[in-house]
Amino acid sequence: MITPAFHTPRADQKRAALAALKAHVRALEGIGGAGVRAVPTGLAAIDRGLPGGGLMLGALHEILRPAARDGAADGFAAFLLARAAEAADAPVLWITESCDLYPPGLAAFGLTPDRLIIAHAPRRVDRLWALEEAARAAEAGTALAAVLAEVPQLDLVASRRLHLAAEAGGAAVLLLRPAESAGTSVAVTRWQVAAEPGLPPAIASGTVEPGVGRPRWRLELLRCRGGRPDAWTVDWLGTATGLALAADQQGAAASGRPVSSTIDADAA
Amino acid sequence: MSRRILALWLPSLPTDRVHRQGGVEGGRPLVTVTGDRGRRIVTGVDDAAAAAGLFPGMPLADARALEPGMQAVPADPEADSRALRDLACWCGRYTPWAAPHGGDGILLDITGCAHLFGGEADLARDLSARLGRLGFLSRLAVADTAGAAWAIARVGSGHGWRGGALEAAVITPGRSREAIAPLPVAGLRLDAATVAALERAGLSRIGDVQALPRGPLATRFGRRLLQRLDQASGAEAEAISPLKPVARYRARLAFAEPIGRTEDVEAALDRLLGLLCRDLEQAGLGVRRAELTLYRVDGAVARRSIGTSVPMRQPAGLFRLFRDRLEGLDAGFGIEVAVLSADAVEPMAPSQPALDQAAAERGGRALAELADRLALRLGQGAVFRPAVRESHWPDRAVARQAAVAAPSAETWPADTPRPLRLLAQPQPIEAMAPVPDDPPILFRWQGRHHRVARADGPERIAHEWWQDAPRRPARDYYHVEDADGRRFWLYRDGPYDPERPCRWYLHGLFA
Repeated sequence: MITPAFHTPRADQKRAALAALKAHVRALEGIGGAGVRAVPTGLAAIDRGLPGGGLMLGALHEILRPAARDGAADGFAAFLLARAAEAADAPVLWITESCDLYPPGLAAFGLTPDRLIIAHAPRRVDRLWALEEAARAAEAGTALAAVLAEVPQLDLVASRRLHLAAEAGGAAVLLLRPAESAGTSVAVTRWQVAAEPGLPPAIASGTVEPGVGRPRWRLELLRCRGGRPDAWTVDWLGTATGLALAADQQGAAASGRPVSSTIDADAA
Repeated sequence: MSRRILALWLPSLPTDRVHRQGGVEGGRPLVTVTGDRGRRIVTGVDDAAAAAGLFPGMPLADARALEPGMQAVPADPEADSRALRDLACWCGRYTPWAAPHGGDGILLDITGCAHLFGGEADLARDLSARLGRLGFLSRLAVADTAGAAWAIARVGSGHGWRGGALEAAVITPGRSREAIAPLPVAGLRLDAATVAALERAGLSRIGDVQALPRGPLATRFGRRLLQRLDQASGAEAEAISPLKPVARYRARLAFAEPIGRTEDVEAALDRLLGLLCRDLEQAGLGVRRAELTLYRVDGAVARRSIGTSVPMRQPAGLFRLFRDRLEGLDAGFGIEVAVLSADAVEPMAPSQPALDQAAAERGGRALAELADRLALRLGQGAVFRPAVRESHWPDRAVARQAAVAAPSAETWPADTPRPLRLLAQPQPIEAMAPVPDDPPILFRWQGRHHRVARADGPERIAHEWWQDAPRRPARDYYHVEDADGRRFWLYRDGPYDPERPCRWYLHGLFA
């Protein structure tokens, strides 16, 4: 055992050197350092663990949706796009596979029609092409805050291309894909969104009414370069409030313990 | 400046076309034949057949007797006219005003463009030589009017030639009337009956007719004769209607050596855009639609067009639009001439926006350019901005606006829940709904059972009777959440009716 009094100065130096190196490596990896720009999700528990404190701009992100079709992942994607659009005061582009995207529903997540441009491309190659073009177009001064495409299969090389395009353009580039097809990629974050049974409406007043309440999602941050994987259960409280930790999770968050322990969290 | 018209005649178009398409032997005489009331008549002969004494109009049997070694193919007037149209198209390398005329001729208005080719005679020689290399025999003449040029090309002295050098008949400006005077009246583009009548009257030369008083001529031979005379002399104007409207703004490049590599084509495009955009800048215009026409050595013509949603005249932006279209371009043996035309233009402010607006405007322009590029590949209408439409029918509540349209702050009413995904076709589901007017308690969709845990509804949405077939039942929509928390938009087609089974559909997905 070394006495702290003797060791402290050198340990500090070491730590500082290590931090500088880490920041340097991050900058090289393209996940920012000092100059990283990010759009906060507005939920401190989530933003705290993300590099840059939110959805990083100029980077590639993935949102996975579970095999059984539902709209939870779409809702979360709409929410992220709306946040980015609001922060940049610019529209976003959603590249869809089929024509089923329904703007009246998206508007409920803040993605109002004045913020949204839709491109419909049934062929996968066209969607990838459009995504890269749009990601790069920001370079030319296009006021696009974020681009999202529904892409099932993607190899590592393609994901690297997209990440570079995102870096060049400066907009957030999102992929919406089915969970079962997700392979390796260079995305900065990978989210998985699944529906959870929501709260019944008007539970606050003590009476449980039959009926559909607010959406509740199980949000899993499966991968995060420069951050830690984590998971949360969140409620969508409408555009005014945004996301909030589900009531039964708030206590755990306040005590400083994440609900799900992850490898990284344990290591730390 | 008087107009100058080049008339081109392809005397053996049918056989030349067959030779060019291949599939026949080169050396043997070739004729095309058509059936006429049970007889088979020769309609076209090639050089070898003509040399053997065959001529159009003779029965096939006679032709066979004269030249047993000949080969006959069925005449195909449609293919001939297609070939003629393609050739007229290709003549666009000389002038935009080129149009097929009759079944075997092309008229070119070469006013003001002959100097690009070293004069009218050189232009005619070049045209004829190129046609010869493509395998088409041609005769041509240049005069002030289409009528005169046509007459000289058809019935003037001189011979057709196949790529050989023969003085093209170029009539000096203002002398067309005299030039056609010695020619037979068949050169007046009249029907055979009128020609025969003129000849019977002893009027065999155009000059004979020109010398006569007009009144009696008209009563005896019809007004058409006077019209043809006037058209030949220039007293009556005759328009050449080009295959496609001729753009006011165009740029043209000819290459000393045919080009084929993508980089060379792109470099040419770059230069053409520079030329075109300079003209547009001076005129205060921007492009809405432009077309790049590439004339290949082998006579084929490749066209690539682009459209923009806002007027544009930045060469770089237009270049990017075109570059996407050049993918898969087949240059064949090379491209000789490239023409860029602005087919639709619109006024556009000079490019000096105020400083504070500059960035926003650049952003808007770049967005418009991106939208155009996406639309070029994905199809018109595939890139759009959604907008509110006043309709309570779910499928009709979204209007599509151009991506560059000014965004409207209006949004849909928030009081009724709407799904994030609305299936294009509602999918039938097997549902168990034991209580009338209640949502189902269990349903099956995509092979999966969903137990309904919570539900809202019904929201009754009636068909818009002014849009739909009458008397279709209203739909009762339910917003349901299954035991796993997944939320769906279901509806029952029509109100509950004990007389008939209920049909349930899944129409949308909620978050």
